[in-house]
Formats: sequence, C-alpha cells, structure tokens
Amino acid sequence: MLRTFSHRIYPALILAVSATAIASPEEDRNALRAFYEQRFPGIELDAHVDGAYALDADKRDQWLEMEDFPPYEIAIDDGADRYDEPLADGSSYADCLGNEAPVVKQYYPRFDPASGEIETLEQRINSCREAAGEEPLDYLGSEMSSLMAFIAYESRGERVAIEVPDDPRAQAAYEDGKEFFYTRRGQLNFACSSCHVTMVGNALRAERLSASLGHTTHWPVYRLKWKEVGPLHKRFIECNSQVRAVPLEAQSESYRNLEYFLTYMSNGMELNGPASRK
Amino acid sequence: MMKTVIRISLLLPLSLSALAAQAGPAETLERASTIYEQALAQEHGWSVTEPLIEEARAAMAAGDEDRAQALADRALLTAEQSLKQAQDEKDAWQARVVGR
Ligand code: HEC
Repeated sequence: MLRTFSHRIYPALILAVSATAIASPEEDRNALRAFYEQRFPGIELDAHVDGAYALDADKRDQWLEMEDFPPYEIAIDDGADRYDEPLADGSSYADCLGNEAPVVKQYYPRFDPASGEIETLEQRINSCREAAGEEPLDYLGSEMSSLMAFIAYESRGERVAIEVPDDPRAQAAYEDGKEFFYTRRGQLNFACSSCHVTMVGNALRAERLSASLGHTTHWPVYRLKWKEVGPLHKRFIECNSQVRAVPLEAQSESYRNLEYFLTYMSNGMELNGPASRK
Repeated sequence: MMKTVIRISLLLPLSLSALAAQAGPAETLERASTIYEQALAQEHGWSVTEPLIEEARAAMAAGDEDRAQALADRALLTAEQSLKQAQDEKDAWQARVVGR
C-alpha cells in the first residue's frame, strides 16, 4: 500500500520539479506580462514600449516635446544612404537581408543553426558586409547605429516575432539570457530584475525605473546623455557599470543571449525605433 | 591543562599575524589579481577591484608599504566577495524568476 503510494507520488513529483525548472519561454513571457499588469493596473502592457515615459506623466510631456524634432532623424537619413550604397562586390544589404528587407527587425535576434549561437541584427549586417568583401563595422560606432536606425525606422509598426526553436542550443541560449537577467552582479549586488522588476516604477536618483517589457522594441536610441544614437548593448554596458560590475563587450555571447531573452519577453509588441531617451 | 590552553591561544594570534606580516603587499596583490581574474572569467568582476590593485601597485612603487598593504587588502577583499557572488548566484538567481 505504502509502496504503491510512493510509486505514484514520485513520478508526479519529478514531473512537477522538472516543469518548474524548465518553464517554457512562453510561460516566462506570460508570467512577466501578468506581473506588470498587476503592478500597473492602469497601464496597457503595450504602453511599456515607451519605457519610463509610460510610467511618469511629467517625464512623458518633456519627452514628447523632444520627439517633436526627433534627434535621431539625421541617423535615419544617413542609414538610408548607406543602406542603398552598393557593397564592394556590387551586391546590396537588401540582397543579403532577405525578401522583406529592410523590414526585418522583428525577426532579430535569432538562433543561427549553423553557428549554434544567437545572431543579432548587427552581426547579420557585418556578415553581409564581410561576404561582400567589406570590413565589418564597429558595433558601438555611428555607421552601424545609422544602419540600425534606418532598418528600425522601416520596421516600425511590425510586431516582435522571434522564436526559440526546438533545438537544445537555442533553448540553452535562452536560459543563459534568462539567468543573466536574474543574476546579481557588481559591488552593489543588483540583478537586472532588481531594478526593472522588483523596484520597477520607483524613482532612482532622477530617473524612473522602466519595465523590462518593451526594453528591446525601440533601439537604437538617441540619448541626450550620449549625444548620439547608440545600440542596446551600450545600455547593457551602462546598466552593468552603474552597479559597479565590470561590463561585458558589446555583442559578447552573454549580451546576445540576454538580448534574446529580453526580446522574447517583448514578443507581440510593436516596434517603435529609433527613439529618444534622456 | 589550563596552561596548555592558554599557551595555544596565545600562540595562535601570534602565528597568524606572523603569517600576515610575511605576506607583504606584493603577495596580497598577486592573490587579489588571481581571484579577480577568476571572477572576471565568470563575468562577475567588480569594477572597484582593478583600480585598487593599480593604486596599491603605485603605492608600492612609491615605497609606501603601509598604504600599499591597506589597498592590497581591500583589493583582495573585493575580489573574494565578487568570486563568492559568482558562486552563490549559480543557484540563487532561480528564486527570483517571475512566475516561478
Ligand atoms: C541599479 C538599477 C538598475 C539595474 C540593476 C539595471 N538597470 Fe537598466 N536602467 C536603470 C535606469 C535608472 C534606467 C533609465 C530609466 C529607465 O528607462 O528605466 C535603465 C534603463 C534601461 C534600459 C533602457 C530602457 C529604455 O526605455 O530605453 C534597458 C534596456 C535596461 N535598463 C536594461 C537593463 C538590463 C538588461 C539590466 C541588467 C544587465 C539592467 N538594466 C540593470 C537602472 C538599472
């Protein structure tokens, strides 16, 4: 009797344990959405694509004024010119980025089965360049940011549609990004989630802590502080540095995996880049 | 009986400080650097550690042993704490996952 009982209960326990250990990306996404919905009952989830400006009316008014004369417009124009310029072998970015180019931002970052790693749009652009006999661009430089600004602009209104395919390497990359997001770092001992989940909506110095939903939809960003358009990984570097952690390199594997996880959390949300921020 | 206990307890702090005195700032710095490298390899370095190491080296070069030792001790402490954070976080992060 006791034996049959334990026979029945063990498999059930094991199932339950493994189910929580490997929550699917979709379960994670739904749980995070439910969290922010509960935390901010009056705010539509889709509004979080505007970051802190979804949470703070005063800051939003200042921001809308800034957006009247978008400071990233020059970057879009510059990116459009670069995009149209033929590459060394006569081919174009459009040839390389697929049928829908330049409206492709919604598909990145993506799992690349050939390398077994996550490929960001910036990396894709550099692969296109190298295949066409061009030098790769600096990931933190203005040429890359301009190209990204143009593609983001053309992709506006599309909804984030990335996948975690049924490949253990893709799932491992996703899990790694999730671990990075929830792991405490730096002398101040903060995780991304400490600020953008646990303390979301609170003020930190002069800033209001934004939700992680929508954190990837609006890049690249013109920041007043940077006085230029810059990429998402530059923001990762800054958020790591402010808790006195040694930041990683832009486009390092861990940052790409973090971007993969964060972007999956924003699946279904509207792309609204480039954007301006303080 | 009583005597031995007293003797041992007297000897212990003596031998510890002897050890510490033996390990000058150079040795402390070497340990700090090694542990800092280990933390960096796990993407858990703290940005305060390297400046402390550099300041300690500068103090050593200037012949200020006491200051060098104090800075090296702080460098070592932050390096050890960062490595401990890396180890603790290997599991601890999971408890923070939303919806878990
Ligand atoms: C100490 C608190 C803190 C931590 C920890 C932190 N951030 Fe931030 N983060 C901020 C602040 C403050 C801002 C600017 C205000 C805002 O948009 O939330 C910001 C902004 C951002 C933005 C830009 C939002 C936008 O609308 O443009 C992103 C993306 C971001 N953080 C991601 C991360 C990631 C990923 C991590 C972990 C690697 C992280 N943050 C860790 C405080 C933090």
